[in-house]
Amino acid sequence: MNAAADVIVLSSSPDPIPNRSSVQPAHDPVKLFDLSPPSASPSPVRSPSELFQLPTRSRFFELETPSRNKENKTPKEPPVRKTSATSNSRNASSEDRPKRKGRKPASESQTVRVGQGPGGLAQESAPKKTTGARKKRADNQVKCGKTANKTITGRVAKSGNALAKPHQEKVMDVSTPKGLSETKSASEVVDLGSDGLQLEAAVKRRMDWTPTKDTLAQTVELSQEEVAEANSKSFGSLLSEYGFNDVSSARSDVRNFGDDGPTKRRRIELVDSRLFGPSKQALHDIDDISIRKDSQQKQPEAKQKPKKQTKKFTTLTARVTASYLNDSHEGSDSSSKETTTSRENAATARTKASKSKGKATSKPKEPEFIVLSPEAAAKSLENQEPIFGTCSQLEREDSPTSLKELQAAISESERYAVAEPSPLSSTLYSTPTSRFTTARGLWSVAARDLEGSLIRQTEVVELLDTPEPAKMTTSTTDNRNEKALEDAAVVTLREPFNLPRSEAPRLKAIPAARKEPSPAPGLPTTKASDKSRKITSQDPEPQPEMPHYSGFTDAELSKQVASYGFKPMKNRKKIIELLEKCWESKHGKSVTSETRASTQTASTEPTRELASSEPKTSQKQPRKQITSRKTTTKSKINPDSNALSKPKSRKTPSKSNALKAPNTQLKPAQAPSTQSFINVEEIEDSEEETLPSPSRVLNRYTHQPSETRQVLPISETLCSPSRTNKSTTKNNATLNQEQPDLADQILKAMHAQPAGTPSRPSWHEKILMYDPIILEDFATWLNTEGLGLIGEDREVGAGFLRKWCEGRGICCCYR
Amino acid sequence: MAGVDDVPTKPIPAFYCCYLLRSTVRQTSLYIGSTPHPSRRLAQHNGVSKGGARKTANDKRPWEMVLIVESFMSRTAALQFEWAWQKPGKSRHLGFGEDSMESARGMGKTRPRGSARSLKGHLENLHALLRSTYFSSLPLRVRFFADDVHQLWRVWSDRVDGVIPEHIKVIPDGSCVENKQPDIEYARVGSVEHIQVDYSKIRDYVEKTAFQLDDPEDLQCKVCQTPVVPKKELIVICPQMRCYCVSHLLCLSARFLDSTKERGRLVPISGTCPGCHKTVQWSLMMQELSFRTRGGKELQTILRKNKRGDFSINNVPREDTDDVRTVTAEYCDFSESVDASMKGPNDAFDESTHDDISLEDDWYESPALESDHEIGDWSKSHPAMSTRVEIVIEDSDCDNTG
Repeated sequence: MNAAADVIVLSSSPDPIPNRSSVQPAHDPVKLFDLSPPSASPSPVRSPSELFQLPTRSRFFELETPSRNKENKTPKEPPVRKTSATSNSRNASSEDRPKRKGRKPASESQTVRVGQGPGGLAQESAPKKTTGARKKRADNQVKCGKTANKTITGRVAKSGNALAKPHQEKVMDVSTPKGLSETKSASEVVDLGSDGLQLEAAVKRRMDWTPTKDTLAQTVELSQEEVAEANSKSFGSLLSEYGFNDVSSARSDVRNFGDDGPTKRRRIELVDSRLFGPSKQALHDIDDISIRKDSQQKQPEAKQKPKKQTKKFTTLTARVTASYLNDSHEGSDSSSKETTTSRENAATARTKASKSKGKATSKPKEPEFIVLSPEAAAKSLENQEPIFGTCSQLEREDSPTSLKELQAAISESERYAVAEPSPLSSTLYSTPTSRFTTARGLWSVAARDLEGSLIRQTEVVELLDTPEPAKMTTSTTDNRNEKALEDAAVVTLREPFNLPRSEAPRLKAIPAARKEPSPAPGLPTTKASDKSRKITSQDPEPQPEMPHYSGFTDAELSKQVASYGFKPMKNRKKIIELLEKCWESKHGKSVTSETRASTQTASTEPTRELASSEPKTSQKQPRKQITSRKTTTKSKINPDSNALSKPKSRKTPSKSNALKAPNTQLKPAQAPSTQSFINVEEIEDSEEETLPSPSRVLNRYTHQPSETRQVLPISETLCSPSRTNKSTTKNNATLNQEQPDLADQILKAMHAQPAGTPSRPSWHEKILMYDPIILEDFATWLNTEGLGLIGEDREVGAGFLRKWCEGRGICCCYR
Repeated sequence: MAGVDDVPTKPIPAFYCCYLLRSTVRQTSLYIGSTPHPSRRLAQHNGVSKGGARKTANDKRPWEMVLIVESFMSRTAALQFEWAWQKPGKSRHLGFGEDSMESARGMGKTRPRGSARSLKGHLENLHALLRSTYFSSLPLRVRFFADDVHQLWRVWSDRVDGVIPEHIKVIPDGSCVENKQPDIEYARVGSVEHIQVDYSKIRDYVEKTAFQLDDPEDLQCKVCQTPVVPKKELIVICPQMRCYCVSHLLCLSARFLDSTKERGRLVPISGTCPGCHKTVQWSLMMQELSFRTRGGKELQTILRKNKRGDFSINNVPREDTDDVRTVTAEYCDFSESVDASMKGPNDAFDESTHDDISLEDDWYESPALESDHEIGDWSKSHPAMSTRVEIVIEDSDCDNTG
């Protein structure tokens, strides 16, 4: 047992060594280990009661060792195998590992498979040779007390504990004749197993082919289960693989042939071998003796192994092979586990197994890690498949749904916004819309295509198509997705049901998180802020409904524009936008009338107008979809919406008013209001979208004549993009005003030049006469004389003139 | 024309063209050049006459001019066009022109830049150049002498998106069988050798204007109704032989431009004469004007010639045909007399040919024949070339005056 304890200590690190030992000398040790693992499997359960067990463990360990001794002795009696002599010596110095080690190689000749049933074999041998067994047991018990201390100290204690319990029981059994009988039966089984072991050897070879996998599995198992057990298993498997292949191959082959079918799979094979074993035992009682011998041999081998392991630790080959051994161990372990049930009867076997496990556990683990590191590195390198792609792509792969979710959320938000205009659902949706609209606005800012086309539409489609919510996204996103999904489902189904309700609360919670929680924690706050930003200033008071200019004919629009004193415009969208602004300014608060005028004058109209037209269309579409929802949820939603609307009004009275008023009031009113702010938000959107709006007809009725433009103040508070646009337009206008266009100035200067003479034509005449214009000369004249004629202070360069000439098809060249 | 400095002092060239040269031996061997005198230049390419034609001095001779882009109003413009045509990848007018992004891509990618290009590629580039903002406003004409090239051109014109401005006429000439366009028929010259390369084609016009302006006392600008001072003002006279409409340059241009729909245009393409109400070509009037005001010696020679020559012959037919261009067409019929009469004046400008020759060498390098060497069986040489070439050769290599 001392040796065992030592082994345990060693085992922690030296796995490779045992492997080597097992490989080189004999497969028997492996078998022993194999036996141990099965015992180990039961042991873990018991382990929790380690405290009590610990002493028992010690006993068991001792018992195990004695069992080995017995076995060793037994083989002597039936000198079937070479190991018998060694076993005797082992018995004498069972505790002494070095001796065992020496013996082990001899015993190695015995098949590893014996190890599979080794515990049983040992036990069996004991009962058969009752005297020996008893002696062994007694010795074991005595030793156990001794060893127990050692083992306890050792790391393997857990495995020992696990083993110990069964061992105790077994020990008792052994003492009793029943136990003997049981042990005999077990021994028979073991014998069969030994036979089977040989047969299995072939299987083991096969096992060898797939060691790495097994090792991996083992490691996992080990981690889960008690380390000791796993180690033992692995260790035994290691031995079995190496030794068996060589030594037992012949025997195992013969025996296994009958079992060949199952041999491919280790576990099956083991079971088969046992099954066959008993039958064989019944046939051949003599075999039991041989088995005993085998088991004895195995046991000593196991003892020897630890010694060898210690020695072998140093060798690199051992470490390298350790991984394979581990694999084999696993297979053996599994088999051993199966067998363990039968083995339970024999406590000695378990003890042995426990010892072996303890040793093996410590050893295999370390070697595995060590071995794995180099191999694993190489394998990992080999296995690693380079993935090419942009980070964005990779990310998508990781969370493919995230984008969809985002899009879906956005789309939903848009939908809500759209839904708002509808009168019934307006209240409910209005609040969500405000939130969502804000989100959309944010999104829109970043999501525009170069052309300015909206991504949202596609997104909406995607949402509908793929309702699946993305898991990857953060909670907020998830919520959005869910909502979006729900919405999509609702839209598609057009079944309001409960979904709208659920949506509303979700929406409330979500929007704040999404968009910009900063303005206000509550939904209304967010809404208000959003509205203030986006929505054009409308009178907080109930406003007259804004006419749906989109529904007007071009002639009507032109009239409206004229009524405001603006020039007729080509772009219908712009006209509508302008009229809306005018109307808003008239009826609403007049904030930015000047800005508007400036923009209009500049003729470079801000994107707003265009955008406004677009949002309308978008709104319209969503409305249709949402209508189903609204109808169902209208009643419920309305109170919420009112509540929401109120807070809005508080915070941003001017802006929010428009929203509120429409919500409470009439459908048409709402629609325009929503449009207005939506438009503002989407100013940046592409102009591409046409105005076709289903609601035009309705709008017509609602439309009201707009007053003079001056009244029209456009709320500066409108979204930032609109401001920027205005400012830019203003700048342009100012630039144009201040500095008309240099090209035009050049033309003016050229015309201002008096007609030349035939000998000295003016520049204009030169151009008319197809004279190549010398850019330097032309520039000089312009800078010195020509531009001065028209009071132009700026100067022109030859490069600019070149463009100027080439753009007009004037032949020009440098001097 | 050689020196830019001289540009103001030189009249619009009587003729200047960019041409596409194709080897009759290897039809894929192409060459782009420019010349004020196509027939002479062709002779140089073919080695019939001396002159810089290094790139074409090889086994690919003889060469043929399959098409020319003519009526450049200045050598500068012609050279720019030539350069752009030769190097479409580098040309701003193609690569970075406002309207030619598409063509730029085509140039850059589908065709090797500045190197061997197929006939089709050249035609595509030509088409794109003629559509470019810079060259589209020039009063150019494209004249095809090879029917196959013309067919290819038509195919491409149908395929390509852009449309060449209307004022750029495409004249199937030479071997081209297409005679369906009566208005263009008059412009056919039959072969490179028959191209009028000197001011003789506007001699009648020049004579008319000279005669009319000889007594300017009672002349009034038809546009501004103010007396004109031919000595101090740039006066334009209608090219119609029977129209004596006189107007200021600026006045008429303004009138023409006002009548056109193109607002951005500075130089009119054509307009309706306020006197005869016939459409007149601005380029022709400018050519006459520049020649009249700057022609110098050549102008005198022509006028002298007219005086010496059979005035009746010149006047009679022209009077019948009001349009000078028809007159030019008729000149083809009277080529002999014209040639005879032209020798004198052309010789006078021989001195100016030197620089042109040197320049031609330079130009040869740039237009280098990068085209692939394909052996073409098409070996028919220009039947009239040898004979005509000789005649032409006597003329100055370059019309520097032009």
